[in-house]
Amino acid sequence: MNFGRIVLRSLKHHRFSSSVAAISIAMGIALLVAVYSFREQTYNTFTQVGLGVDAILGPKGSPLQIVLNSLYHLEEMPGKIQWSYYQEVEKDPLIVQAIPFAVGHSYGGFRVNAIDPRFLTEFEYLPGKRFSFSEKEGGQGRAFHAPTEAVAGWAAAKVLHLQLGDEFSPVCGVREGEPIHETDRLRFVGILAPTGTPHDRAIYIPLETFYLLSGHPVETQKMAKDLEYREISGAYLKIRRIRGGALHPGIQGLKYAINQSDRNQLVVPNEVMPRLFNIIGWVDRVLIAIAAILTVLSALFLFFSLLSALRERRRDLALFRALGATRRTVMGLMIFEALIISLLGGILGLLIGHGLISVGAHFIKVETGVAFAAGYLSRADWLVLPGATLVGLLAGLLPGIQAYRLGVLKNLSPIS
Amino acid sequence: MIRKFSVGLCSLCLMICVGVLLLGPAPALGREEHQGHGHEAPHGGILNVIGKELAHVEVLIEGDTLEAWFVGGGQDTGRSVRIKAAEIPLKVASPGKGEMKLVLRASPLKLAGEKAGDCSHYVAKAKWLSEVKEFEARGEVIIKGIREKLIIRHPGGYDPIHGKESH
Repeated sequence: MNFGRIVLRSLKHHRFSSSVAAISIAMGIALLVAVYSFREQTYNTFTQVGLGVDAILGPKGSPLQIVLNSLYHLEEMPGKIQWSYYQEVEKDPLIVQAIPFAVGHSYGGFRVNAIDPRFLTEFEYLPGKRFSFSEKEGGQGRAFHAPTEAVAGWAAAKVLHLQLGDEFSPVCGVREGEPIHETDRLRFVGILAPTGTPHDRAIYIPLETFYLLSGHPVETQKMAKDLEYREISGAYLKIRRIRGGALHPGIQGLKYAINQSDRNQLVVPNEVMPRLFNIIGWVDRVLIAIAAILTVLSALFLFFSLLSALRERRRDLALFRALGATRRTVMGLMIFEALIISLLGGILGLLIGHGLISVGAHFIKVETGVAFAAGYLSRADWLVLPGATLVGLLAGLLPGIQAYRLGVLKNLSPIS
Repeated sequence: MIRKFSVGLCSLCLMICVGVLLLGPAPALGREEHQGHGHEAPHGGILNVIGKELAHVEVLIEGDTLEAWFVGGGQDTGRSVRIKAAEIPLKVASPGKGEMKLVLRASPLKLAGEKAGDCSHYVAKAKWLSEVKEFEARGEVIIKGIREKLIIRHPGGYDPIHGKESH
């Protein structure tokens, strides 16, 4: 009987304890893989992609709050800016595209953003990618043209079961119980194809409609025509790029000048989002610690199950030795067994981890509009198999040494 | 031996937890946002101290153009400080070039709401700016209501308080 078959027979004999050890290792590794994958993908999505917005022109207040509100449809905008100021900024030669918007309305728990129509037709939410209404891509209908028309993001439409032609009245606010513009009925004429970004989680109406809603005070309604007094929540800005696709360095000067003004500021999302990650970084560190503990405890369990197996098999191993097996061979049997269990646990952990990501990604996409890929390979993925090998070696080392030291004559005698 | 090994594994477990929790912000998590709270030049120029760090003037030279931004003192270099002067004459000394003159002229930052007479941004043009490697310019400025000497050293910057030439 060869070495491999002996190990397999032994594993089969102790299948219950071996399976439990492999599964517990798999659980720890699955958690590590899932946490690392979500962590890296979240960082990539929230910082490097930038959601197509190089900078946000907004009111004075927390830059993080402005980014969360204007890009992620969370929080509330800390104030408003003058339309005339927006127009001045738009004229700056560094600005390639400026899309003004007004926030503060909602429907069915989703934000209703009044926005310049160019957002739906000309804005690139990712390099080279514009919003689509194509049915092939999962969209429907068209962009809005009239003040009473609206477009729903993919996730908003899915959760609210929206169909083309459905009508709604926006809520004047983003919290429960706020007044509804009951006399204003807006009709959905388009549903955006999924973009995998938080843009999917909003409803869009024409910017002019914001001022025309009947429940608004007269001053706000006047802003529809009187541009001198018009206020907006902010504007998405695309900044001129230099060679290599980097932002034009002049953005620092532009940011400085705008930030010196009394009411306005320029927020660069890619500078602000790392702050959020520094705040929530503790959460994933705790999860990683839990996963690490789980993996080490699994290794401990594997170690004890191998020790217990060794006690049962002392006579068998002594017999091997008497039949000519060397000390190294019996030591190798124990270590190899531990390696197989931990590698099986590692592979199973990878599969379960990516399964977890797949299930989690579905819920996250519906809840936040952010798309995660189940197949994404994080740093943890590359370390799983070497890590599992190390765990197996560590757990099998002491039982292996004990097998190495096993006295042949003493253990050949019958146990009872 | 088994006990020692178990204790060893448990210690490893503990070390991993402590290690993970004590990790500083992961490198992938990027840097903190610095928005005007550092002792740093917001435009990438060189800071020159005015008075006893009452304010700074940040200077950036590109070709024959010198741009100057009057900014706050101490750590408050991200905030502009407006002054009333439309022009600030400077006497410049440069090794091998002798004494020259340079005039900083107000160039209001419109997006900041500035105008001539209430301005933090000044520009000077001179052909010799692109030729000299170092110089010291001296003048006077009324800033935050106080008349102060304005000393600009290029390329090191002027900082008598911290005993360094530049920040």
